[in-house]
Amino acid sequence: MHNFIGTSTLMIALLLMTACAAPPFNHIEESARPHFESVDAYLTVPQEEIYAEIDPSNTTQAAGGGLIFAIIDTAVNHSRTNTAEELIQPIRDNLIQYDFGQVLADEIDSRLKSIDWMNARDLKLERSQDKDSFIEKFQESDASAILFITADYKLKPKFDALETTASVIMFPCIEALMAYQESGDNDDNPVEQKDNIYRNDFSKTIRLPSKKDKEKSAALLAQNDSTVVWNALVASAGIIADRLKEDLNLHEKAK
Amino acid sequence: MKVLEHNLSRKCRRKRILDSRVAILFFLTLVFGCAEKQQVVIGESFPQKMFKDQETSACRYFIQEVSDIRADKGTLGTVGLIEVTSEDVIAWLINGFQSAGFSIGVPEQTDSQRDILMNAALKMAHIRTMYGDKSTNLVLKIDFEGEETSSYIRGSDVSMFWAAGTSETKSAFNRSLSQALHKLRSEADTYCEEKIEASLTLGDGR
Repeated sequence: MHNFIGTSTLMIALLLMTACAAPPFNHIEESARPHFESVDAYLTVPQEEIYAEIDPSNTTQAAGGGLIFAIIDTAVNHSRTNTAEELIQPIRDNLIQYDFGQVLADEIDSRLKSIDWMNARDLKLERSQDKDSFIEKFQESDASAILFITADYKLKPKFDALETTASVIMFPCIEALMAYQESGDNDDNPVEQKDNIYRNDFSKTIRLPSKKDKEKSAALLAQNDSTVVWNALVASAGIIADRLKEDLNLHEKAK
Repeated sequence: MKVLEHNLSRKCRRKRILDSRVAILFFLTLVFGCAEKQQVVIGESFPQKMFKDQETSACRYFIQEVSDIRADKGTLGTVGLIEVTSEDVIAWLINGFQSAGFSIGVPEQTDSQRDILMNAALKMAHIRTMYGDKSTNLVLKIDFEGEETSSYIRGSDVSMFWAAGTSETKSAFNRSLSQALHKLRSEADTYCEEKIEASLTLGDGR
């Protein structure tokens, strides 16, 4: 009986959570566009260098919990992180003089400025982000809207692909655009996700030349000054910027 | 008798519940004790012991200028959700250089054969956490006087991420700087040997 109640509660909770899950995007309505006199745009790239993802150990999950398994997971993850950091160092050393954040900023800046109705100001590149920075920038802004982009770039665990992601959200700063919020309210925090007038996530994975094991793949990527990795990074910046521009011009609403 | 046993078992159960509550409270204090803290600030000290077995060199090493050329000088990355900053990153570097046997500034009397002059800059320093670990990286840009190309010297560290404490974060940065300084010292020693050899070949060695 207890099991039945527990399972039912869990199922109801899951159903509720799924039912309430927000759609992955929200576009700007066409009728809102004439209100955009200017847009402040920020790109945050909170990493100084490329990193390599690891496949996390999940024995705890497989075993249904337990401290011993959690300790095993920690030890395995520590070993995998150590290996990944060791393998990526030559690639990082080769790319030391390049600034991917700046490349991505230049690409996005040029695309935003090419959107006529948006009147985007110069994109500002930031290297770190704390939770209060959205509010501070919102309060300082005298633009019609404020756009925040947070990017991340990494090599996949097998060192066989590069993944670049960008999470984008825009908030209205003027009354005329408030009506277009996804589901805004009048509380103290004007930059909660629901207050947005636009949001979407972008991701681009580019396959890289690879070998059977990650050690050899990493060595391959470190050859020729890691040109192949840098070229992939530059390409991904252009693709993400293009997709963002295209998406900002759509007007399909989140339902 | 049964009543006594019953009471005893109730007492034991209560004690166990109390013990487990204390344990949970202790655990929560450990986990969330740092939740209020918004920043980890790294001090400028550097432990001398990291270079206690340093061999003396035939040359004297002088760092004329120490600068910070990081893209964002305001941050050293994050541990968990907490931002890491530094009190004075230049002072910390200077302490590290001095521990590793480098003098700061220019020599009062120059010995052209045995003095090696260089400029040092902090190109990057960052920490990030992934799963149960924290990874620290630091890169020094070194310009040896008379050399056309710069040397980039990296120090890194991967260690267990405990509780986003100042001490563990500072230790991770110190280990990274120590590794970079050992590499720099090794490079400088090689440069020194080459310089002395060259001067001996020219016949003006002492």
